[in-house]
Amino acid sequence: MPYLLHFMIMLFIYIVMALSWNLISGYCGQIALSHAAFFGIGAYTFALTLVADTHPLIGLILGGITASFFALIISPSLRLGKAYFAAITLLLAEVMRTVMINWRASGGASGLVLEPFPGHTLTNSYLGALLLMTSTLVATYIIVNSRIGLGFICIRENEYAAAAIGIPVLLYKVIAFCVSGFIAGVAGSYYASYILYIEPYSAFSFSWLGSAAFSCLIGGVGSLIGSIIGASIYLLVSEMFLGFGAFSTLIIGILIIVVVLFFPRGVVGALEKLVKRTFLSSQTK
Amino acid sequence: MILVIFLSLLPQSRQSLLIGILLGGLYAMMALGLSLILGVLKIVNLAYGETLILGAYVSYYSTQLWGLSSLVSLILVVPILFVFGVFIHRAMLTKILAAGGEPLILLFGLALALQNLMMFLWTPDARSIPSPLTTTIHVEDAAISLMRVVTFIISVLTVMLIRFVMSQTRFGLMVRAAAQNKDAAELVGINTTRVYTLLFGIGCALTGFSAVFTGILFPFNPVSGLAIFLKSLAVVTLAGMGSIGGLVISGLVIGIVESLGGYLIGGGFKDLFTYGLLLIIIIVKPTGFFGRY
Repeated sequence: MPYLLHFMIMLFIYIVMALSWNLISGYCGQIALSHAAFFGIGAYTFALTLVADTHPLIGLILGGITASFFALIISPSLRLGKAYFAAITLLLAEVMRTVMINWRASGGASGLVLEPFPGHTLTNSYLGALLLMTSTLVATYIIVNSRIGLGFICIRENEYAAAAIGIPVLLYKVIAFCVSGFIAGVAGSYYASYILYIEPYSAFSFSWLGSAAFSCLIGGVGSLIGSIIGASIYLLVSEMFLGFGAFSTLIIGILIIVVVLFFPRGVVGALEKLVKRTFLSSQTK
Repeated sequence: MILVIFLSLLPQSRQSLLIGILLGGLYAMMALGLSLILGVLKIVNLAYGETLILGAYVSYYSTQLWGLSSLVSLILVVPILFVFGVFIHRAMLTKILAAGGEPLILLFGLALALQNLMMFLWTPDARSIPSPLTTTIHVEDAAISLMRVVTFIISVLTVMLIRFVMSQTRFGLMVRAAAQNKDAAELVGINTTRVYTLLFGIGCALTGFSAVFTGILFPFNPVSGLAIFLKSLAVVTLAGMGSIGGLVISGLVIGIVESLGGYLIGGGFKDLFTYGLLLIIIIVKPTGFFGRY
């Protein structure tokens, strides 16, 4: 039973990460590779605020704010096109990793162990994670079905056309990126609040990004339900390979390549196509 | 600028400055593959660092398992990486580009896969390719290893050679035509797909060439790829897309900035100077200083 709860908590955190990545990279089309950094930033912010004796809820929110602040800092690179933006997001990830490994105040390479705060039980962590996931899902749903969300999709499909009809492209991109960063930061903070131990290699590990990207790709970019399905698939796959060692991340990388090459609309999309083709054979495509 | 001049006058920092200049040459050669791929194929190869580290590992194991000298391992690494590049381009990138999709995620997946493959196969321990030259020469009061000087000379020569090939040979002409205007190039009979594939392969081969020298001068492990990619990207961005000769100058700038930065702040953080410079360049002058397109 405790293992099941742990599994579900991790699942919820992965879902939140996938939803966050989906916002900027799926709906808005700007591939961002810094979500591992946002996660780690959130985790470390929470840890440091907890050490400073602040209420954990404040730590959670502060983690999100700090992460979106960093997103804001590198958001000028959104002007430069997807490739350079992706590279700059990688830069953020690398900078964070370098700084955190060398910075004494945050525990350096050996990390920080946190004191459990009052009310920290497995059940409460589970309920909190459930709440986190639900609220993120609701929030993302509202965003993507709003006017701004529509704007995101327009930007993804054709930036110039979007600008031509009056969508403030750069502003929307920045909003998407910062909100995405906020969510990822909160996810990282929550993880820290649950595990109560952070160190730079696991907090900033690319597997947080890889899992989010994989989940979205499998589920089909731009589909919220798809992200949930994708995150579940990811967790099953990584549990099959017993945890998060190099081998399982290798498989994830290979799967990402396979999915991008052969399932551009995600497995969900491919299934849709298959169903349509089988049952609606009078229509092509 | 003033800081650089000031620091170059101090005897203690002269060693750092000299090392920075010598490394700058290597950085230029390191960035060569990325520059070619970016300038011609317009793709930022996110898996670039991992490709270089792969080459370094091939060289390392050829010295360990078969006792080859590191310079001889070049003969092995360069063709292997050429084939690797051709394979990646043909098998993956052409499919993505034909479908109008985004090569970025593919390249990210590739980088992730390569990095973890190397970690899985060869452990995260740091490795270093044994240097064929161990003498140290002394210039005034600075001690420099001969290998660094030799690397510098080879790097600059390589960059100049590639520049010559690109600007003076028929093949270079075809490449530049395919880069400037794909349709027009095809109209005059250039098989752009083959040119692109060849160029990607050559880019990877050059990466392998510089990988050996990088592996000799720096200890590396599977995670080093990202830092190498970012540094090469800094060199390429500073130089400007399409500029090869400019790579030397921007390589030198990066080398000096990094070295002096390390002298001021301390070894662990010196990469941050390069990253900061990259960020500033991106914001202020993203087309670089010598860019051609």
